[in-house]
Amino acid sequence: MLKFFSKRIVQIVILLFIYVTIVYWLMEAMPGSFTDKYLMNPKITPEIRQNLAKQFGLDKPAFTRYLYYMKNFLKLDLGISFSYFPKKVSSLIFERLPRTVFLFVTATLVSYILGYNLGKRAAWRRGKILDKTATFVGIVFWTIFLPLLAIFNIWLFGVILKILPLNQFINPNVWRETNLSAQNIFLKLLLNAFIFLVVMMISLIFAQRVKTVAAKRTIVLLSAVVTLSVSIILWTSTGLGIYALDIILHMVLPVFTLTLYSFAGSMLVMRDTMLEVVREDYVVTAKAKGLPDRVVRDKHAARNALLPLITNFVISLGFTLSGGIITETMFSWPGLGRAYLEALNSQDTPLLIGLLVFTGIFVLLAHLIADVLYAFLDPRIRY
Amino acid sequence: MKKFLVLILFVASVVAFSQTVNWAFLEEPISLNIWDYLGPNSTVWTGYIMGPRTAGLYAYGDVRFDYIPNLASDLPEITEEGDLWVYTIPLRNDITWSDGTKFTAGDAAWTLNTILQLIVDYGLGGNWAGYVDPDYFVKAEAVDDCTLKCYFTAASLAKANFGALMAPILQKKYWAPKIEEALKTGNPLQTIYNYDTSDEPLLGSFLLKKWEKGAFIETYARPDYYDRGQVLTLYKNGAVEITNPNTGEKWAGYGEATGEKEIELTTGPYIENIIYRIYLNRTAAITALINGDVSFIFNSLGLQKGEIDQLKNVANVKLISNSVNGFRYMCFNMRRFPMNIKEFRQAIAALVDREFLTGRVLGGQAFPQYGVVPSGNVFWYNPNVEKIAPGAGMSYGERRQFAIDLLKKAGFRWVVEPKIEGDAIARKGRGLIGPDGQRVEEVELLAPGPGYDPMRATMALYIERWANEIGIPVKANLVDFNYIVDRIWNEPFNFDMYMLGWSLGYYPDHVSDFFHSKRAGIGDWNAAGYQNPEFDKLADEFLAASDIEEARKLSFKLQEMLAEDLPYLVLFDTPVTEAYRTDQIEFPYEKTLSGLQYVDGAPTLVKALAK
Amino acid sequence: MTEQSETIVQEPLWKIKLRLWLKEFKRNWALFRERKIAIFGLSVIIFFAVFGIIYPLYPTIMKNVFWKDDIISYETFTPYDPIIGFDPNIFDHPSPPSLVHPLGTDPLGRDVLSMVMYSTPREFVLGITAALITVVIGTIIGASSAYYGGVVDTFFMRLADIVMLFPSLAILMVLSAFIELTLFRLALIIGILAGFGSITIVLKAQALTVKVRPFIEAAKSTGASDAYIILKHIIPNILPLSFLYMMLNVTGAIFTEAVLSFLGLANIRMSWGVIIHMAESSGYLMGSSIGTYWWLWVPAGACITLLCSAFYFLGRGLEEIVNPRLRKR
Repeated sequence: MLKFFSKRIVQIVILLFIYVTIVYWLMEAMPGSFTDKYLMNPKITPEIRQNLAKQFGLDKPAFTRYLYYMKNFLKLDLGISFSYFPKKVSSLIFERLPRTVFLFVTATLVSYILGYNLGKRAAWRRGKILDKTATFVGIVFWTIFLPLLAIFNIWLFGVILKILPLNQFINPNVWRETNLSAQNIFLKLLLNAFIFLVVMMISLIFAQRVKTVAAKRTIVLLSAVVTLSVSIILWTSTGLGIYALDIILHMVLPVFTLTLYSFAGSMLVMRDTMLEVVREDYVVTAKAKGLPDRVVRDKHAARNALLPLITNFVISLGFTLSGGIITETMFSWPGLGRAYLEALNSQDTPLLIGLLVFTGIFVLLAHLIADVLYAFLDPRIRY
Repeated sequence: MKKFLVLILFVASVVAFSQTVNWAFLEEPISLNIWDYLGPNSTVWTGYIMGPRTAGLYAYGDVRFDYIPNLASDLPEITEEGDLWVYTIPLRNDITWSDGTKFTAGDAAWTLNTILQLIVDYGLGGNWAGYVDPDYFVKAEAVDDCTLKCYFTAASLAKANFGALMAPILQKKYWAPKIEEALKTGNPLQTIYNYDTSDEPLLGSFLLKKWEKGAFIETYARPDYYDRGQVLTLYKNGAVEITNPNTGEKWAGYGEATGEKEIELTTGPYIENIIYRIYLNRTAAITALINGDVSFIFNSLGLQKGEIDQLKNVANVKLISNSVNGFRYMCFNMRRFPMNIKEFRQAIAALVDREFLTGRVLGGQAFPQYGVVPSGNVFWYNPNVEKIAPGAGMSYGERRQFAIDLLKKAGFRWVVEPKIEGDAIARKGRGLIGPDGQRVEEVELLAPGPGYDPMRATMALYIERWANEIGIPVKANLVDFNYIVDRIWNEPFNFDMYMLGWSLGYYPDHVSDFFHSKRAGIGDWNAAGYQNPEFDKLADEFLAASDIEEARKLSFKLQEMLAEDLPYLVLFDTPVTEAYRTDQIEFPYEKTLSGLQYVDGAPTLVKALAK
Repeated sequence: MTEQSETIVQEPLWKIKLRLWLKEFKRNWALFRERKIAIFGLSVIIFFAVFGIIYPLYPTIMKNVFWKDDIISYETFTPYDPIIGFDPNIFDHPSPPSLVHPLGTDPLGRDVLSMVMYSTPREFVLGITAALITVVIGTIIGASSAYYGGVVDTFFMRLADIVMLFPSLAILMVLSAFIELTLFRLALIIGILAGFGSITIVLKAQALTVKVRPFIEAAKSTGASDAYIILKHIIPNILPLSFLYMMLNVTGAIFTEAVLSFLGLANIRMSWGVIIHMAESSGYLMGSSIGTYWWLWVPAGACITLLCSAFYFLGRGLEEIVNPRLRKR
């Protein structure tokens, strides 16, 4: 097992270097450069433009810059952004990362939980009305044009029904009198969510060892309720509650839209794996033993079908950048995807490379985690 | 106890009258460090925030953009000292920095000299070099606290009055040690750009309160703002008068300050706070305006047709429309055949019916432009250029016939000659042959694609069609903006014709930047390759003029010359339409070039209405 | 003599093959017909194909019906041209649906129906070209990796790893800056990116199950060449799965194009995405305008969803034929 993972890590490092190189030269091949924006200002003469190019390091040949970049990359330095000159790319990424991660992890989790439950039921009652409707509705939303869905939801919930806050990720009126930064709250929320997930995982593992279904349920429910109430008490007692609530309220609409758009993906994976699992011997045996339908479904079939879904989930987290481009723009959520779009429009190559490299690392890590999870969850796999 | 009560009362009244105004931004400003802002990172969004923070010796007055003293108390006095021209500037003595220290000539002299030093020694770039031109500006000296002397190699409105003397002034006490420290580091400019300036003493009217990254920026009005109560009066006869009843300061210029007043403005600020809320798409900002979350939207492109349609019907939202200081144009590469033939350029110009395109096809979202100085720049615009434009006032058929005649006059022939009957084309032209017998191959027109600017794309397609009807083989190539820029300035000048746009400053020295023959080098602005000794001479005279009236006459001549020679075919521009909530704020005026966002939303004049 | 005997043997073989194929097809068709949703998908696709093909008729019909008396302005303004069309008789664009313009006009005075129809065949070409390229690349590479193993396998699998690292939309956005993303080039790039990515891995896995079957060994022992085995034995066995992925990839390609056009990044003069972009950038896609000016976005938006989901439904219908484990008992 250790050997397998050390081999994987070496592979990942090599992959990463090839990836960074390709990304770098791809950006290098783009016509024009950041300094072209000065071509719009008649007051800036060619000499001034060259001067600026020199400040950005654009006066050196591309290959020298590449070597320089790689040298810095080894030191985990992603360089200096052009459009936020002279801020560090890494600090810009760090500024936007918590917003993106919190939004997308929540949205992905919600949509996977929904997908898992629907897929499970659809497969169990295949061909029935639930299966048909869920598949049809799911695919229709899956193929709807995301910007249109976002615009429509904003209009419906924000403008017509006026039940959800709109347009920004926080409400300035709540935040203007405090010294707290939203970044601070985002990090705390992330920590909270992480602790919650860990507690739930532990309680799930613990629940496996208990015999009766009722006891299992109690353990899981109890741990969920306890962690949630402890967090809520902590948030309110420190007075940070309203800020956290403000962020969460602003997140409802994007999360809802993303869930609507993407639950079909996980639902179909779940449904199809379930259909295959249902034919496995142990499920057939369990049924033959006369176990209650729901027990067979949840305990024997669904648990084993969960595996591909979890892998899918981890891997899909890596693609938040692409997904974020549209979502973050439509919902005024200044995260990584939006940063990418802005960097592209202003030809901020260091930021573009930085964002792509960062997501590359993220995806590779996600794959590694998926491997670990597989080894951990599937008793048949031993490395 | 009594004191305490008074304090309570004071606090209560401040809270009760504390007026907050909400503006919508579509992008986040980059940094509040002015070196960074006027260096590599000037975005309009940073500019909107920086505007109310800074002040220069001279400024543009509201509404008419008169050149008026700001930190100075009068216009400069110009004398010759040896080789140098000396601008002696009297300064006001009632001005304080936000930390309470007095503003003196020492601050101004230090600022100008430091800018020059950083430009010459370290290559400080960007707009700083637009203020201070090292070829002209020599040095600045503080004679006493209230007198500043600036030395220039030549008298020039462009480089002195509208250049160095408008640069923002920084506090010497705060910046001098910082700059010195930075000069000792490996990369001085980066160190300077990176300074956190949240504690910087300022001359402007609004200071930073909180910047919540990605969400909003809040500023507050300086309680001790020195211009509070100052009255700016514009007279119909062109005269300008500034009086400050509090300090007794008074200045008048541009004629006798009598007769009918055009407008009278009393400086505030009348509001306590401004919250700049950041929205990442226009729809969000407009929804916020409709909901009343913001009172005004900053958007340099202005509102789009659909947005206007919608806001028209919203109660308490008022739309205002202003012309802009810019134009979109088509440039001919005069280094190449057949664009080097004047009649060819005129023939294309004759075909292009700007009124039809802007009024009908673009549905009135754009207005025609004729000359290289935009018509909205009223003082400098020469209205004569409209009459010089080939084909002005002609009908569809007449334009085509006129274009054919122009080409014939220059000696062009066709394999199949086009024939016009009334407004219809009886026979399409084919196989255009130049005066020297050379066949005119495909002429490429580079224009931005519909994603970048649907208007230019549409216009390019129309020009392609109209030109082809009379046998000019124009091919419109709708491409990425960067690709066009690359072809023009990096390849270099590998184009036949292209379509782009300019956004301009108030003083029209861009005319010389774009068309002077010495600016036709690689990467420089004269992309057309226009070479005209007569024009060069006039342009040099224009740059050297120190009298505004004289400069205006010269500018008029330059504009006429270009309208005739057509290195640029200036096409159109879009008015900037803005919207604000009349139930929340009140602007002192609405008519101003490039709209209210061009004056940063007039923060010292705008009033918040009590709800 | 030998010739004769060969013909005698060859003819029936060919016929047998055809008959077998027909039988297989009939069986599959019966299976397929059970899936109502797949039938629905197929009919929608056929509808769109017809809808796109009859586009050239549309301006001609309109010209003869509504523009008979005004041929000059028709010729000058070509009101049904999807790119530079303009209706001079209507003063205020966008105009709501009318007889002359069944789906109204857009802010530039172009006929919406004609834009939608004009785009339809292009979306097909885009989607199918991209999917075809993907599947051809994926099938060949997947089959060869599985068959040869070793260096070939490692190379292509690592290549797939790298390609999968690239967020495709983000990369296409970059490419749009230096490649003029015309429809065909876009299809090519989407196809190649997807072809070298995850699909190779899936198809390789499938090919591996084929590789271990006895008939491959048998073919090898008779001295068949590698290329022959891959082409004649492995590829036909993974083709159904490839075909399924092709259906799903059509959706991806059309969707990607729409997003790129919506962001104003692709260089396509007209497509469904461009229509929506036009509505958005001119400010009609917000607030109450969403309802008032529905014709600016509903037709194009509905077309994207309908065609994409149609291919998806069809794909899922086929999946049950391809993958017997999913069949109903």
